[in-house]
Amino acid sequence: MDKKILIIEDEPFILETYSRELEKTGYQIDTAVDGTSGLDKSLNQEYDLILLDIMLPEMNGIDILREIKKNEKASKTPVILLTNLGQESVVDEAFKLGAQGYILKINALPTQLVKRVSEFFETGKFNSEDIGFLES
Amino acid sequence: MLHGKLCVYNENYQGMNIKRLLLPLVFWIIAIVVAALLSLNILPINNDLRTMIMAGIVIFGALFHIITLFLAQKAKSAPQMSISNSVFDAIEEGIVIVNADGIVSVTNPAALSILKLTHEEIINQDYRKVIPFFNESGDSLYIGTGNDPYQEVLKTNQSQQLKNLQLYKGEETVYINASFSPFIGANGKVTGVFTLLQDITEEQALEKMKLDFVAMAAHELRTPMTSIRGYLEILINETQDTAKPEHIKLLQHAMLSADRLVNLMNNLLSVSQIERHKLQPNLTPTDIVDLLKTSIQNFKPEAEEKGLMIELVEQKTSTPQVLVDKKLIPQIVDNLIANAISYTTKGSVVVGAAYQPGSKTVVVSVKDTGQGIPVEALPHMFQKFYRVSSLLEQGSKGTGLGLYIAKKLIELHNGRIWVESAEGKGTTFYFSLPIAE
Repeated sequence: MDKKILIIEDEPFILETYSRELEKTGYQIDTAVDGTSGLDKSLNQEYDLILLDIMLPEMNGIDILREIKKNEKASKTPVILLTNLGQESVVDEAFKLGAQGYILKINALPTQLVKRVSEFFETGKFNSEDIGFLES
Repeated sequence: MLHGKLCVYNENYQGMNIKRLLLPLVFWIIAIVVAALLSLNILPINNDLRTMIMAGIVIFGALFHIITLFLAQKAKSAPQMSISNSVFDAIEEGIVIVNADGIVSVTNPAALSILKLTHEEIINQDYRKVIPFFNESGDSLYIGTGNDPYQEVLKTNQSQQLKNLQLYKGEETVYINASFSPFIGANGKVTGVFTLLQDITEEQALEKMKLDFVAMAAHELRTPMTSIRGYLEILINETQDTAKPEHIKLLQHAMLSADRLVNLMNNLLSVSQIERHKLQPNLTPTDIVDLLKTSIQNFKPEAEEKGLMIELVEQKTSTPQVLVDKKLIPQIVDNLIANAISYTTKGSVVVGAAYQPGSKTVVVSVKDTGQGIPVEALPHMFQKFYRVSSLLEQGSKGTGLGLYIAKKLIELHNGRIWVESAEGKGTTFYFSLPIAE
C-alpha cells in the first residue's frame, strides 16, 4: 500500500473527499489545484498513478495528458481521467493519447473510487464502466 | 396549411343584382314602345326616317349590351383577381409551385424571403437545385427512393406534410415545416406540386437554446452534487461508531435525496441529448440473454433484501443475436428491473427473451407480481414526467423520465416498447429489438 498518487483537481471539495478516502486506505496523496502546478508535479516527481481532472482552469486535462505522454519518464505513469462531462469524443481522445481509464465523478462515491483504484493496482486494468451514457 | 387538392375557383358569386338589370330593362321598354309607335304609323314620320330610327335602336341596343356585359365581366373578375393577388403577396407562408418536369414555375414574396433567393434565382430552375431540403437527421430529401415529396405527390396524388426540414444557407440553417399538394391546372389535371412553406427557424432556435441550457445546467449541477454525496458517504462511514443511530439515519436519508437528485439530473441530461439528436446508438450484434443475465446479477442483492425472487427464463430454442447498443440497452433493462422491484412487495420478478422463428425481432419482457398499474395510467406510462400517483416506497428514486427515455432509446434501435398490467396482480413491460441479419 505504499503507492503514491497525484490528484489534479480544481474543485476543493471534490479534492478533499477523494483524497481523504484514498489516504484512509493507506495511499500517499499529493494534490494540485490547477493545470500548471499539476503538470509541473507530473513531470518532475514520481507517482504510481495520476488522477487527472479534465475541466481545469487555464489548461485542460487532455492537453496536460498530451504533455505528460511526451515526457519520457512521466509517460510511464498511468493516468486516469476524472470527469463530470461524459463526452464520448473527449474520452476517446484521452484513450488514444494513452489514458488507462476514466471516472464519471457524479457516479463515483469516494469508496467506489478507492475500490476502482485498488483494483487497478492489483490487476493493472481499470474498470471504466460508466453508469450514465455518453454524449456522442 | 392546405390539404387535398388546390383548385382555382370563383369566389365572387354575387347572386342576382336587381339594380344591374334595371338600366337595360328601362332602355328596352322605351325601345319597344318607340318601335311599336313607329310600326303602327302613329308618329308623323316618313318611311326612310322610320327605318333609320329602327336600325339605330337595334345597333345602339346591341352596342349597349356588349359594353355592359364587358364592364360586368371586368367588374366581376377584378375583385376576384385582386383578392387572390393580395392573398398571394401578403401571406407569411411561402408558396412554390413546381411543374411536373421539376421546374419552379410560381413563387410568392414570402417564399423568396424564406428561401433567401431572388425571383430570378429560383424561377425556371430545377427544384432540387434551388430548394435542397434536408431532413432532421441531415440527410438530403431527394436522395434515395421514396423520400422525395415532389415525386411522391406526383406519383400518388396524395398530399404530404413534412416537419423540421432544413435548408443550409451558408452559416445559417433555415428550419421549415412544409406541405406538398397536387396542383391542378386550368385543364382539371395535375400539372405540378404546390408547396406551402412555414419558417420555423425562430422556434427551433428557442428549442435548441432550451435544450443546450438543460445540458449546461446538468453539468454545472454535477460539481456540487459530487461533493455533497462524497461528504455524506464519508460522514455515514466515519461516524458509525460514535454518532447516534438516528443521526446516521438522517444522514442516510440525505444521501437518498442526493441520489434522487443525481438521477433526475442524469435523466434530464439524457433527455436533452436525445432531443438534440446527439445520441448515435452504436448497434452491434449481441447475445441479449447474456446482457439480461448481467443485469439480473446486479439486482439479486436488492431483490433478496425484499424477499423477492428474481430470475431469467430462457427459451429452449436459441435466441438469435440482436442489434443493440451495449451501453444503452442495459440501462433500460436495469431501469425496468429496478421499477419492478420497487413496486413489488412479494413474489417475483421474471425476465425473459422470446423469439418466434420467422419473426424479425426478439421480445424482452420484465414481469413482476407487484401492485400493478391503474387502467387510466396505462396510456400515459411513457410520457415525459408522468408518474403514477400511488404509494411509493420511501426514498424512491423515480423521476418520471425513465420510461420516456426507455421509449426513445428503444425507438432509436427500431424497436417498440409496451406494457400490460392488472392492478393488484402485476405488470409486464415488453420491448422488441430487431435481430441481427
